[in-house]
Amino acid sequence: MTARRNLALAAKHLALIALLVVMLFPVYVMLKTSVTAFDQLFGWPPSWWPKAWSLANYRDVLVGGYHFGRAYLNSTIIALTTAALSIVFGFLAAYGLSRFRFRARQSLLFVALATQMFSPVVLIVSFYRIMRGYHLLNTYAAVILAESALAIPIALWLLHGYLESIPVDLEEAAMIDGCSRLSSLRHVILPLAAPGIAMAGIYTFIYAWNALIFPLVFLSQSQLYPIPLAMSRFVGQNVVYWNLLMAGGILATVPVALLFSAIQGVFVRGITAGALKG
Amino acid sequence: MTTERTPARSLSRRPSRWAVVRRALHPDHSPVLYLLPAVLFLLLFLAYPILKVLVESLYADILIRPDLGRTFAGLRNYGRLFTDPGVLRALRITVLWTLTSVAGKTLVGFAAALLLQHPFRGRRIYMTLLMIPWVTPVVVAAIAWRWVLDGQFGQLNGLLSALGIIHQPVSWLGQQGTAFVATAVVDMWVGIPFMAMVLMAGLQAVPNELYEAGRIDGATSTQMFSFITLPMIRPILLVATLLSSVWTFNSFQVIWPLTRGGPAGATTTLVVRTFTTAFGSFDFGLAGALATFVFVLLMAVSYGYWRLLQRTG
Repeated sequence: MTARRNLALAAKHLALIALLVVMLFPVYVMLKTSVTAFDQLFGWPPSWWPKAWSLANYRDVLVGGYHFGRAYLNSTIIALTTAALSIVFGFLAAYGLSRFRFRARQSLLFVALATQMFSPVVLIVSFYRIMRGYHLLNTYAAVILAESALAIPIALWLLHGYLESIPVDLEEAAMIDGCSRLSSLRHVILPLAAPGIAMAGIYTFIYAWNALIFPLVFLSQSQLYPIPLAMSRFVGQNVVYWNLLMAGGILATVPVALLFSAIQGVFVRGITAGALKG
Repeated sequence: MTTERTPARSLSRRPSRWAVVRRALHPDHSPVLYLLPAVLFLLLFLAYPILKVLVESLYADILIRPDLGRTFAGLRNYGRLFTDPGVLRALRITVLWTLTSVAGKTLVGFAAALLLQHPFRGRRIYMTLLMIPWVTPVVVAAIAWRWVLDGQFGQLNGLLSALGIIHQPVSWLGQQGTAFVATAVVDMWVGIPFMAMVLMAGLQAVPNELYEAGRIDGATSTQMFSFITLPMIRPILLVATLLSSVWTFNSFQVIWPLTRGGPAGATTTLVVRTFTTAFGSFDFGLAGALATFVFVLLMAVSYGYWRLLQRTG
């Protein structure tokens, strides 16, 4: 019996390792390429281990002539503002939807859900005209407003799921004790909902950090480019600087990975409570 | 006004209109003020653009041909839409591509979830490593894969020739068939962690007593899988695949950096087609009709999803 169980466990490890080898293959290539010098890139067969390690690519990306630091700043501004707008608007609306019962409630929840299924592509045609009409092309505002239109419903949906899991009794007790709804919201709900708010904020931050299509359409001035667009700078006339692309890619991933690891636990719960149970 | 001063007693019986309004808006009793900011924002930046896209689709308007002007075209753009072989091809490619990618994501994600279902030493490490593709920004992932799949010096070519499977480098993204499969595989790669995580959460929710009861009754693990796990996980599986289908259908960030819809349109899905119609040929009328078509399609699926959620939730 134990021998059989050990065999099953070994098979499980083996299957998982095989899966991860495949899943992490591009990650390995990315890491390897990011520490390889440009003149070592194009050889056949491709090497499996860099001959000489060097962090020069990272230095070139960050402080070289590519202004990647500026792209970092652009991405941060866009993602932070989008996350802030999404939390404020999304939290208030989620509170209203989870603590009051009224006729339009179900339809509003449906709209919030339906927008998660949108492709930004559906909106860019008219968004382009609207932003051009308001002279907002080539501004952060255009990107932030458009991203928020899709991020607010996500935040709303996630926070609604989270607030539903907080018992109403706690606020009711506070209100019976003479608290107004607003002050019970502030002193009772807000602290309890903090993990959910962090989750929604980080999710919408990542959403905006990764966005490609709105910046692609709204921004043509290269000093405003967020990271996904700025990566194109490492593609020359006839040559692609894969070493710089990969170093830039890793630098773009690190903040997301750190943020995500901070909320992983809450996030899994939130996704299942919010997105799957309605 | 002054002559109709209401006595204090009747005021307490019938509140003035202002008091009614105030009560309807009061944050203690009404959701209005909580909902207002989000609703206004979404009306302005979501509902209005959608309406505008509908209007757009009724006009003939090619942005780089101002000489032709902007004229009302009725449903002519829709006529063009459904007779354009390029659009029909894009529709076919979208359906096939979505099915391929979602099938891959679901199978691998479910397998991973099953492997990680029960606690064992090292499980957390596997879970963390499995999340890496998910935290990688999609554009970054697509670019990394483009280098992996490079037709000359790509690591995949290196690997396959070291294993003796191929004898000369393959231009994976340069041929129609391989480009289609390769972009679908990259999309799977991006989506597998989410699928695995959601299904794992679903598996955690299956009460352990059921498995224990099964074990007492002498069920084999295959029987336990098909009579306990599968029926219990079905609702979540359904929801996750449906949601994933919609996201895959919408995938732009994977295809655009990899192939721009090429070669020869082999990876041009509806979404890519809409984008190139609007910002490649600047045919805003036709792009509007395409966008509307995609929108209606997605709304129909959303509604089905909503009904499903309400039945299972």
